[in-house]
Parts: sequence; C-alpha cells; structure tokens
Amino acid sequence: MIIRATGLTKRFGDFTAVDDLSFAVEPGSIFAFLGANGSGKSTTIRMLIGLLTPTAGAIEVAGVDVIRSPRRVRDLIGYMGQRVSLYAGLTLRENLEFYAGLYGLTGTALEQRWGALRERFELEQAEHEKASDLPAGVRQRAGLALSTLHRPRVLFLDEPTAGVDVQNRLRFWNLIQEEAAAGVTVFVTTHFLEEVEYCDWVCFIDAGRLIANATPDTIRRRYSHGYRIALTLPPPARAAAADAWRDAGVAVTAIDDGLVVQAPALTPAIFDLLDATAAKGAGGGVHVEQPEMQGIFRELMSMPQAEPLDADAVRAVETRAVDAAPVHAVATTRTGTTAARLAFTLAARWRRLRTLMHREARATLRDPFTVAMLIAVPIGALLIFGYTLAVDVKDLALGVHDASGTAASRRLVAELAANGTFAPRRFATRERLESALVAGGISVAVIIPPDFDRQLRDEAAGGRAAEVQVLYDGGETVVAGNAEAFLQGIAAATGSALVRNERSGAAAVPRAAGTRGIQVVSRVLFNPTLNGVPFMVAGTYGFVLTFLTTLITAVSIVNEKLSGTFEQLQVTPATSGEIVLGKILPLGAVFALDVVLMVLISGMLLGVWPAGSLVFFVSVSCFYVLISLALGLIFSATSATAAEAVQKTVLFSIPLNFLGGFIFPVRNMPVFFRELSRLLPATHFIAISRAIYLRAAGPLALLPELALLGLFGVVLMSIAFRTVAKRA
Amino acid sequence: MSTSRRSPWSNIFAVAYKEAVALRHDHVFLGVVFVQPIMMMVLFGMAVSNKPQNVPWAILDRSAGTESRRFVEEIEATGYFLVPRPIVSYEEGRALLRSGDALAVVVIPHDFARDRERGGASVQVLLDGADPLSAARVGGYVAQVGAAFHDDDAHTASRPSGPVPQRGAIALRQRFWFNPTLRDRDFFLSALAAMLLTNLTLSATSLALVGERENGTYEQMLSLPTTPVEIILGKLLPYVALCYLEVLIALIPSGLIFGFWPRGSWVTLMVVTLPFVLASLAVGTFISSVARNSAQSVFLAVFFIMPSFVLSGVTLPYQLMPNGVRQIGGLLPLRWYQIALRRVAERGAGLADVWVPMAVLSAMFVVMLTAIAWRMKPRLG
Repeated sequence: MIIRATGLTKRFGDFTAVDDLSFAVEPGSIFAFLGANGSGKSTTIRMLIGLLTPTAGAIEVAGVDVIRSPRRVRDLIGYMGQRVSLYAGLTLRENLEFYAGLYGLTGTALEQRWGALRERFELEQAEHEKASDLPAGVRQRAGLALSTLHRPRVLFLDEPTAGVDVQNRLRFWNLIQEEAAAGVTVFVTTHFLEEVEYCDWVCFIDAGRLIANATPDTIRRRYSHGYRIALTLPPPARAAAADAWRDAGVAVTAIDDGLVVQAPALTPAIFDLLDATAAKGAGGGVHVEQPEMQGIFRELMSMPQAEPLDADAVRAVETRAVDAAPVHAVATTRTGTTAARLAFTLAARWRRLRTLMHREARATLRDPFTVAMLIAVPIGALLIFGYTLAVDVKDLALGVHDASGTAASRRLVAELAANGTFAPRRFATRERLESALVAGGISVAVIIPPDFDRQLRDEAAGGRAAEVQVLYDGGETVVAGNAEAFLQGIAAATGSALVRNERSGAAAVPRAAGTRGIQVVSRVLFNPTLNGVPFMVAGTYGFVLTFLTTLITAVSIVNEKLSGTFEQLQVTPATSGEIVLGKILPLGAVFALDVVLMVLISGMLLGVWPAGSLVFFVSVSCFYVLISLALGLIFSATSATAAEAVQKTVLFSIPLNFLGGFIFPVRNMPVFFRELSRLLPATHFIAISRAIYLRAAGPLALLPELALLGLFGVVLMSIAFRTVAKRA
Repeated sequence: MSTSRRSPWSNIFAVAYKEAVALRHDHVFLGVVFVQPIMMMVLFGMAVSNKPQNVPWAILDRSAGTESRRFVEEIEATGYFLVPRPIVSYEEGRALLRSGDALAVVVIPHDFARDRERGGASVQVLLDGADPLSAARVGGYVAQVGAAFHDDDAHTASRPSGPVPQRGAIALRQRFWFNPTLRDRDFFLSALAAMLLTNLTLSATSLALVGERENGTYEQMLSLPTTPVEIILGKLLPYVALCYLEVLIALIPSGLIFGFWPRGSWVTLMVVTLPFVLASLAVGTFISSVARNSAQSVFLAVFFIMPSFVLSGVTLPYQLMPNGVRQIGGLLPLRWYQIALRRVAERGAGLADVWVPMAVLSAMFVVMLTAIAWRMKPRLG
C-alpha cells in the first residue's frame, strides 16, 4: 500500500471535520476521493501531504510516516491545489524554472524532462505566455505538468477539473491515466461523479465519515440493481426466456416489447444466458445499461447510517498488478559520509533559497504598482515632510490696531513687518481686530494704546516701561508660542531704539547696564540655523521604512496565500525557514536600495546629508528594514485578504505613528506613554536616525539604542518565522 | 429613455440600503469606527504634545555661588526641565548633547556673582539644534528666566509665558485667548473629529468600487437602471450617517473626560461637517475607482491619510510651513475642515466665520464627483 491512513481524525474546536477515516491506496492506482463541499475532502488531502497535523490517527505515504516527518515525504509527492498555483506575473517558463529549482532540477535534466512533458501536455504554445493570460484548460494542464516535474511517486490532485470545460476535462483525465500507467499513484478529489469511471478505487465521505470504500464496480453492484439489460423479444419466446433467467437467479421483469433483467455483474454465465436467449428469440435486440454513479451516490446519501462498505475481500480479487514505481533520485543520495551529506544538504538548501529569492525579486520588480510605490513614497515623503516643520516663521497673520497713530507707533508697526516673520494688517477699531482673531483670520493681535508716546516719554525719564497689548490665538499652541518669542525680540529691540530716540539723540546708553536681569547668550549646536528640514528628513526614514516596508511585505504574502502559491510552496521541499528568508532577503535588498535612494534624494534635493557616518547610517537602516519586514510577515500571516492586512495597518499604525516621536518628541509625553513608545521599534530607529543625521553620533554613543533595536530584530524575526511555519 | 423612470432618489436609497446592511458584517471596519476614536483620544488627549517636557539638561557652574544655584532653581521651577546633571567641562556637555542625554547645557561663568553686582551678568546656553522646535522653545524658556531674574523677587520668573517687564523695551501685556495656558490638548482635541473622519471616510470608501469590481457585483450594478452618480451617492449615504455618529463619538467623550466641549453651537458644527464628509468620501471613492485591486486601493488611501495629517495642519500648524508646502496642504479637504472645526470648537465662531472653508469643501466635492463619474463612464461601454 503506498498510502495508508488509519483512524484519521481532525477536529477544529468543537467541529469534527474528519472522523476516524481509514483507507489504503494501491500503488499505481487512481484513487478517487469523493464527497460534497465541506465534507472534509480538502482537510484529508492536506493531512495526507503534511500541511495539516491530524488530531488523531496515523498516515503513511510512500513508506514515510507523514505525521512524524512531514518534510521527508515532499520529494516523493506532487500536489495540485484547487486553484492552479502558477505565479500570475511570471511566464509559464519562469514558473517552470522556479518550481524545478525548488526540487533541484536544472540544466539538461530539466530540459529533457520538460521537453517530454511539454509535448505530452501540449504546452509548446503556452511556454512564454504570462500565467495570468493562459486559458483555464491550459493552466490546469500546466499545473499538472509542473507537479509531476520531479517524478513524484504519488500525485495528490484536489479538485483538478473544477471550472474546466468537458473537452479539456477529458484530455486531462487521459493525462492522469497515462501517469498511472507509468506507475504513479494518483489520489484525486472531485465532485464530478462521472469522473469516477476513470478511477480504480472510490472512497466516499460525508460529514467527515467514510461511507463507501471500494472499486467503482463493487459500489455499483452493492448499491444498484446492477446492469440493466433490456431484451427485445417476440411474445412467444418471452416466457421461456424469463424462466431461464430466473433459474439462474437473476431478477426478471416483463415490459411491453420484451424483458428487462438486472444483472449484478457481467459474468460469463450472463453472457451464456444472453446467447441462449438470443438463440430462442430470433430477431430480438439487446441493450445493456450501466447504472449511473450519480444515482448510486444519491442512494448512498439517502442511507445515512449505512455500514461503510469496506471491501477488503473484494480488493484481493481486483488488485491490479502494477509495475514498481521508479526509485526516486533523492532517496538514493542518502549515503556517504556525514560531511558529504551535510555539504549536500547545504547545497540543496542554498539552491532552493536562491530559487525563492530570484522569483521574489523578479515578481516585486515586475509589478508596476509596487515599483511606483517604492520610488514615489520615499521621494514624496521626504519632500513633503522635510518642509513641514519650519522654525523660521514667515508671513504670520498679525493684526494691528494702532490707536496712537504717531511716528513712534508707526515705527513699531514697520518693525513688525520688517524681518518677514509677520505680515501685519491694520484694523481701524479694536472690535474688528478682535473679531478677526475669533474668526481665525489672524493669529496675533497687537493693540498700541492711544497714549503710547506719553508712555515712551515716561520710560525715557526713568518711569515704567511703555506697554503694548498682545492677544494670541492660543488655540494654535505652536503658532502662539513661536509668535510670542519673535514679538518679545522685536519689542525689546524696537523699544530700546524708541526710548533712545526719546532721550533726544543722546549718546546710546548700553542696554545691558539698564537691564537688571541676566543676559542669556544661546548657542545652537548641530543645527545652528534651527533649520527644520534635517530633523524631519531624519524622521522620515522612520516613517517610510516602517510603513512602506510593512505594507509591501504584508501584501506580497497575502497575495500568495490568495493565489494558492503559498500552499504549493509548502508542499515543495523548501522549508518554512527558506520560504521566509526567500521573501525577506530580496525584499530587504529592494528596501536597501530605497534607503540609498532616500539618502541621495535628501542630500541632493534637500541638501541634507548625514552628519555622522554614512556607512553606519545605511547599515542601521538596513537592519531596521528587516524588523519592518518581520512585522509585515506577522501582519500578513494573520490576515485573510490583502485589503484586510492594509486596513489593520490603518487601524493600529496611524495612531502609533504619533507615538514614535516622528512629529511629537517622545520626551514631552507623560511617563506611561513614554514607556509605551519605547516598545515600538520605530521610536528607537527614529532616535538613532536623528542622532546620526544631526548630531554625528557614532555607534558607541548609541550603544543602548542599538542593543534594543537588535533585541527587537531577534524577537520579531523569530516570531515571524514561527508564525509562517505554523501556517505550514 | 424609458418613460417609467423612477426618481433618482429611490435608486440612491436602494444602493444605500444595501451598503448599510453590508457594513454591519465588516468587523475590521467596525473597529475603525469604534476602537480608533478611543485610541486617538487617549493619544492626543494625554500623550502627544509640542510643549517641551522632561527636558534633560546639564549645568556647568563655574561660579558655584548662591546666585548661580538660585538661577538653576529658577530654571527648574518652570516645570519644563528635569533635574540638571552637573558637569565639569565643555567636553562633557558636548558629549551629553551628542548622545542626546541633554537638550541644553547651561554654562555659568566664573565671574557670574561679580558681574551680577555690576549689572551685566550673562550665561551661556548650548542647545541641541537637532530638534529645532524644542531647541527654540527651551532656549526661550532659559532666556525668559534670565530676563526676569531679580535680586529682590525670586518668584516672578516661574511663569515664562507671563508678562516679563524689561526696562529699555516695550513691555508686552499678553493674553492668550481661547487656550490661556497654551495647552496642546485643546489644540488636538478640537480637531480630533477631523482626524477620525479622515480615517473613517477613506478606509470606508477606498474599497467601495474596487471591492465590487473584485466581487463581480460592479457589472451587475452598472447593468441596473441606475446612473454612476446615483450609485456613488447611494454608496456614500450610509457613511454620512456613520460620520455624524463618529463626530459624536469624538466630541462627547472628550467633553466628559477632558472637559473639552465645543464653544460654538452644535448645529454649526454639524453643518460645517457635511461638506467635508462628502468631499472626503468622494476622494476615497476616487481612489477606489483608480486602483486595480483592493490592496492597491487601501494602500493608496494609507499614503493619502498620513501626509494629510501633517500637511493639513491638524497636528502641526500649517501657518508655520513654508510657501509651497502650505499651498499643497490647501488641496487637502482636511486642511479646510480643521480650520472650520477649530474655529467653531475652539473659538466659538458662527457660520458666518466659516463660509470660506465650507465653500472650498463643497467645490472639492463637486470636482471629485465629476472625476469619479468620468472614471466610471468608459467602463460602461
């Protein structure tokens, strides 16, 4: 027996999908596994190929205990899922090279094998077409060709003919029969009952339970009245003929123009009786009808608690002699020294990894949307965010009501406009000024009192300082704070000058002497002009490398899950570790290019180069990319559709974006949120990015942050590997 | 044209009903509606702020007298700073600034006490300019403490935003309207609804058309006796209702928890909201009509939302953005809505004060609707 399932059971929570199934499959036979939608067919097939661990029971495929070592069986089996899993963006030829690479089939061996398959499967025309452009029938043949590429001993086909027209189905079954004739065992699920005719053995399940397990013929005999043979006989011969049949133990009924007999099987005795009947009733006709499977299954289904028909006894008679399957190439390589074996394993691993990476890179770079995003998002983000935080305030809307209207007050207004910070507008009345502030037309209102001149004179004579009233729109907290600082400066400078004028051109009094406070001399390091662009540019790396990376990774995996290619990958010898690495490394390389692109754009377009080491910055960024990739993998593994993966990001990441310090300094937050933000890798990366870009910090100064980032990397990466492996 | 053509409204309502029924089953989307407001409110009500807090700093006190100690205490008393770290050299200060362990280093010279007596004392502040907004503010705080530092009165300096009398200058008698303590929370909460509605409208509609196309129901819809505009309006209608619910979800808890109730009338607030909701829904639908599959569509929506939050002025004041960037932000519906919303919620403005943003938003809606109808048309053939 090449497949043997014993007591196979799978429960999902309270729901029992497969209930105590036992069956065995002869080598070289075509085994049909039938059942309605949701009866447990796909669950069973997924357990047989090691994609799903059963709750109970034992499985042996080609001599391998699938439950204990699901990986060892993969070289020995081929699988074709319900959706033929070709990568839509690649040509058939590229798909072929990809899957062949995973099985280690290259060079002339591949060309020979493919040459034969291509001809037999009639795929010559399709070879260089994109898989997404192939018609369903061709795609299905191509899928079968690819799953037999590595000469598997067992082929598992999960509803291979769904959605294919009658002609193509016929062609497809011919191919399957050819495979079986060559010694391949074919395990096929279908819900086209007439296809049972092509099969050697039928297993029928309903609600996870075995209902029938026998040859099509046995089932036919057991659940129908056998062959219906209509005999056209002249009336005189009828009675004698009927007696002869009855004597042989065959049921006979009379119809208008003769007899109908129900024969359970077409045995030699039946043929003898037919001959005898023909001899008696000259000129009669014989019409033999085979009972339709459809009717049989309807009958089967209508007997809910029927004893399962397990025809082991019959099997002994009907077993067909089958040539031994060709010994598989991989199986023979398990010889030699440990070192040689290790070298062989490593070489195979590397070859599979290379194949996976090659495909991922090709698919990513060929998708115009992804490429557009990879280029447009970094550039757009840098240009947009780079300029949003400007401390050199310009043209701030300021309203002035000058109730004094003297030379001195006009000078003050002129000074307000002088350095470009404010764009003053005059208001004739205080009321209008205030209502403009309410309406939001201005952010600052300055009211110069009517006795401004007198106050200045007082001040010059040593009295109290002249006063000007200022109203701010406190709603705009940052604007108000900034405006205040600038106004204080202008008021101080202009005030001094005006008071000096009042002292009627006397020698300038040193200002410091008249001030009782302490003069604070500020020196700004790292960014002397307080230019906002570098700060935002360094933070934008955090934004882009978090969102773009996570999203593109998530979408890439979910799309594979949807198209069925992910499942197909898991049936190949590639390990889940290799599959994850095969995604992460090429995507990581693509994003590393993005990092370089961003460095160049911010340097050449915005004039912002890192103050610290460029190599250090790029290395840290590339490491951070790996963290985001891991997050993307985790996101996608838990999402059913690509849109859902992206929506989850919208739901959680937009609020979190504000917690990472990209715009609002983490320092300003209350303790709880500060600690919370420390749990985000983005927080640490943004801090590091800014330290390198603006303060030329080296690895030593950033050691704690780097260590944390490293820790995040290790933890997230291992979670990602485990999540993807669990879905295997 | 059929003579028995039904009124366009019955078509619109039929589509709207279908859309509303479908909504109830979308759990991720319900998360966007109900979970996100709480997350955002907590975040913007409690977490983020532009006002410097917990500022790490270092003091290089070469004078080491009572006067210099009092000056340090005055700075601490402002409440923006942590306890300073005493250092002994410039090099140490620079190292702290470089590693980010200090945002400012205050250097008090050796002759500080003597200079004070002569009336010409000065101190030096080294600032980490890497974060310019914080640096400017922190420098300002120290300067104000310095300016207000008097022998006789040690307490006047504790309120940097208060009036600082200076001789030889003009004293500014300042008042901050609407938000006297310049609390960032009020700034954010007044625009909370704007942020939530942006997320809601775009994540809802970005799947609107592309989703139907993927399900194959799009062709079905177009084959019905409805026009594209009717389909779109029908799709948008339930979301408009949902948006009003979301506004309440944003406003009522922020009033109950943070005591921030809108100053203007609720009616004005609701009226102002309509053109924004329509314009924003239309933008999402347009994205959906451009995208080739739902993943692309949501993807585009994400990268529309994120810059919107920054460019519109919802989180950072647009008034401070340089020309060019400020104008780009003007193309976003969110810019105009946050202006209108803040005017009503914070300043108590009436309808007369917000007609310009409302007009702009309405114009945006009409333009987007035309664009969508144009995008849908070629597919009809």
